[in-house]
Amino acid sequence: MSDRPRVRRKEPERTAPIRDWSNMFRGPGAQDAAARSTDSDAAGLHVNNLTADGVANGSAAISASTAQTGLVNEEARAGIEAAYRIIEEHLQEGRLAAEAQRGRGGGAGPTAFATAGGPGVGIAADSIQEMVAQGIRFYSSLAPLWASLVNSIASAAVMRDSAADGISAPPIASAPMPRRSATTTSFAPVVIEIASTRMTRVTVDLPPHVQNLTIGGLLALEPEKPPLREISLTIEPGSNRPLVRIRVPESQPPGAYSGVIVDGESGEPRGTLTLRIEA
Amino acid sequence: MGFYENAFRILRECYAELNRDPRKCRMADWRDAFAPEPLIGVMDRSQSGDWLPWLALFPPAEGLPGDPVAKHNPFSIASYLARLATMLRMTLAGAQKHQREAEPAGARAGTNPESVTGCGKKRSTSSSESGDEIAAAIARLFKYGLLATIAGLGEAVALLEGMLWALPKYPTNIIIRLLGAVASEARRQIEPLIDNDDEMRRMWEVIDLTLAVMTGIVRFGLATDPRGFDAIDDYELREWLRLNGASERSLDSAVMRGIYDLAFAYKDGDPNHPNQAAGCAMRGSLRMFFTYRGAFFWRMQAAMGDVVFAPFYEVLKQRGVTFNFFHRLAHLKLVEVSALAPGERAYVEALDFDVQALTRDGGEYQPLMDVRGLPCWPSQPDFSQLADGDRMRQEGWDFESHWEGRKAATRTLHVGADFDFVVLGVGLGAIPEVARDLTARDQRWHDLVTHVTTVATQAFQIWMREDMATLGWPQRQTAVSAFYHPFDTWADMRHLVSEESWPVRPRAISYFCSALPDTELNGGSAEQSTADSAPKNYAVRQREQVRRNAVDFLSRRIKHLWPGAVRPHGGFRWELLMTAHEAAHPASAGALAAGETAAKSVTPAEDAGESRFDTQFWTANVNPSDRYVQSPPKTTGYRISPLDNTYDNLTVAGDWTACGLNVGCVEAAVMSGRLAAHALAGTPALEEIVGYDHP
Repeated sequence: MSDRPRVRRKEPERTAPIRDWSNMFRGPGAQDAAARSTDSDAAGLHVNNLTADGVANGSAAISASTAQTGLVNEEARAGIEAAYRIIEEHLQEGRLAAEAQRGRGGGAGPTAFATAGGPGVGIAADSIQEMVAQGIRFYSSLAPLWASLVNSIASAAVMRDSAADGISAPPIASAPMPRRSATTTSFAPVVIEIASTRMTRVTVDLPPHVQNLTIGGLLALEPEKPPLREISLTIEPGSNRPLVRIRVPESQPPGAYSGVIVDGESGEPRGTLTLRIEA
Repeated sequence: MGFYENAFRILRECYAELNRDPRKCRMADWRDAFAPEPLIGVMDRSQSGDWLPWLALFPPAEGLPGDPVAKHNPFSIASYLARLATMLRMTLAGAQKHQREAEPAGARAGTNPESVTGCGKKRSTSSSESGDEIAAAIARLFKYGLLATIAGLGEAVALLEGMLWALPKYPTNIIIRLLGAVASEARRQIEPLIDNDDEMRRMWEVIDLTLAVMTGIVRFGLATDPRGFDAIDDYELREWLRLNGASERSLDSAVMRGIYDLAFAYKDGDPNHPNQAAGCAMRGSLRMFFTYRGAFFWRMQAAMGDVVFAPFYEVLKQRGVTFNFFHRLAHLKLVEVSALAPGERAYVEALDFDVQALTRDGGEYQPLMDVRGLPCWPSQPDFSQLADGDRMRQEGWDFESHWEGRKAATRTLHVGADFDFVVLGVGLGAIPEVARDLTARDQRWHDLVTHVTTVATQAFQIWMREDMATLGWPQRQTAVSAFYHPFDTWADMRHLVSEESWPVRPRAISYFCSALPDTELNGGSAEQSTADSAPKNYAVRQREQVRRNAVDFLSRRIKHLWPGAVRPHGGFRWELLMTAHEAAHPASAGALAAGETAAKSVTPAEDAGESRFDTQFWTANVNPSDRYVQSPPKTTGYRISPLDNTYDNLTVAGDWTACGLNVGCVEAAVMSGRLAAHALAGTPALEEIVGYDHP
């Protein structure tokens, strides 16, 4: 062996790749950029964090610079109103369709199913009756989705592309949104109390840090099913978490029941709640 | 492949540095050496049992591989999701179009959804759409019940696509819901349509697999999991897709079989045991489909030795590197623990080599030969340069064989005196033998060779006197996978005809390859695959097995690819094969890889029949260092990184290392090499290694 000191490798700064999704911007010297990109406040980046079961946890952009306004602009407000009008229209159309098929009258055939028999209809329904029922089931599962989208539009206020570095949009809540890290989930859990003798599944879509909530009741699309009125929405003392209490009567027919959660003061929609009773 | 960013970058730099004179060398620029190939295919099995080529033309993508990566990272899982949605939308549009064309005349009545909603038009995916526009679009879908139609599904996916491109702007719960609705409706609507309709079936398989991938990415939270796709590496790929709703039909589709064939991902080479880690497969597949630049494939215009390794060798020589050929690493020796100073890390103390041959004049061996102005790497050593070379040639010394034990001398290199750092760049299969100090003393190295597996491969190449169209393949030049095992992958190599020295040129050259089952030996294990443990003549017997496989394949299977290559009553037309006695010169190194049989002179009396195959090329790649690296489930964590500094004068390089991509391929090997360079010299910066930091 030589007398000169043995040459050694330098300690590496790391020995594994960065797999984190926040690694959005790469390029020469991008290590600083990657470090900056994890600071959502400084870069105004948007964070959508998924929980372990893949359910997203809330609404869109946070930006320190725009968290102060807390206002919804007219464009978003008009969008919300139009959206809820459309939801009501198609829910009404569904009810009318069901009534028409049951020979209860109610006017012309539903426009919602104008494509029946038209091109591209690949559903396996053999009858209009079945197709109507399929459509209602389909729409009912999408109505909460639709309401969630509308709510997020309201939260974002202005959906415009920023050529430079992403979007900053004022959230709808009047309180400033807290800073988020790129690697943590940050939604407030909802406490649900259900009194039911049957298998019951509840889905709640509610952005974090909202207060003063109320819900009017849960409706099914089938008009013969009575609404679920024994429901309340408060804030759990101590934990400050939304607390939903529902009692399902023994005689309540199985099926899906949905309702919109609104701000008790402004009447603005905040989220949705769907309850499904198994047979 | 077009996503081999690191490989092409280094190749382009190499060619630029070589600065060959185009008047003297026909491959002066890298674009002379590589040609874009957008057409790829798989062999699809129809419901009636026929084999049908399913060819896809992948459109040119912006830029060229090896170009600087743009500021916006194309590698986020969010962007992959958006691209998957784009592909899904286009496939749904194709399904709708196909369905319309298949409907009987007069069946189209009622409201035309396209005239109402604008369905079928390509939807803008601009993220500048206002909330009102998106609200109006969803309203249209609801109002006209179009989500109950294939066209409506396409519209919904277009909306989904828009959201995914601007993922941070939309809550992911909405995306999950819409994706779930699309998946449910798509399965309900389209599956009943695929009976007896192969084209619809193929589209459905793509749709089904795409939906399963998207669902899986979202359900498993991969977009925000700090482990990225590593998070699902414990799952087998088909298992993971099945968990996310993929049908058995889709899981056995030509696309899926092609993905396994491409990676030789069969346990012990057995086609009945497909096996690859879901995370590695997803990362590799998404990179392959969505981040290629220029073209999906880039076809080498000569053999790899000529277009890749010869230029690398020449550049390194110009930079002053000394090469010692015919030195076979026998033992990487670690310092004894007792010799370490307190706190000192272990290190490589010495390297033992078998010197297989010495040069006649004691100078450096010159490996390249000139073939019409192109420096080429020959398939056999130049024995004329070697001391005692004539005898070696006569005795058939096979320097590349693991089982060739003959040597001219031995040599030991010592740390400090002869080297400072070691880059262990041998194939994984060779590690148990050459690095036995490491595998004996370090549990991680033992686990590496125990869990990360390799597979032998087989290949054959034939030269034919009729062109592909005459043989019954009218399509343009391409490569296909997912065909019969063995030899599930075929590459039409007609472009090499001009590179070879035939007085009468063949009209077609074809190459077939696949995994080779280990009937007697499973390399890659710490307990096996040493020269002492291998059965006698194992390599010879495997080579003979490959020959039998090839003859059987041509006799019974080739009719499905080339119907014109078989006789009316069955059997391959052996007279198609051009034999050695028809050539004035042996086939050039550009056409034949190492291990070929010597060109056999076939007399006219032997011309008939199967014996003509003996003049073609075939190989069983069973040398431990030649075995193909696999990525089975639950093994990624056993790979060792080139950045690992446990032994402070050692790094590793190879596609078997923890290189970020973690699959067997050239790109992984290059990434690993660049990581090794970083480990020793601090350059390139890790951020410069494209795709290393990747979900």
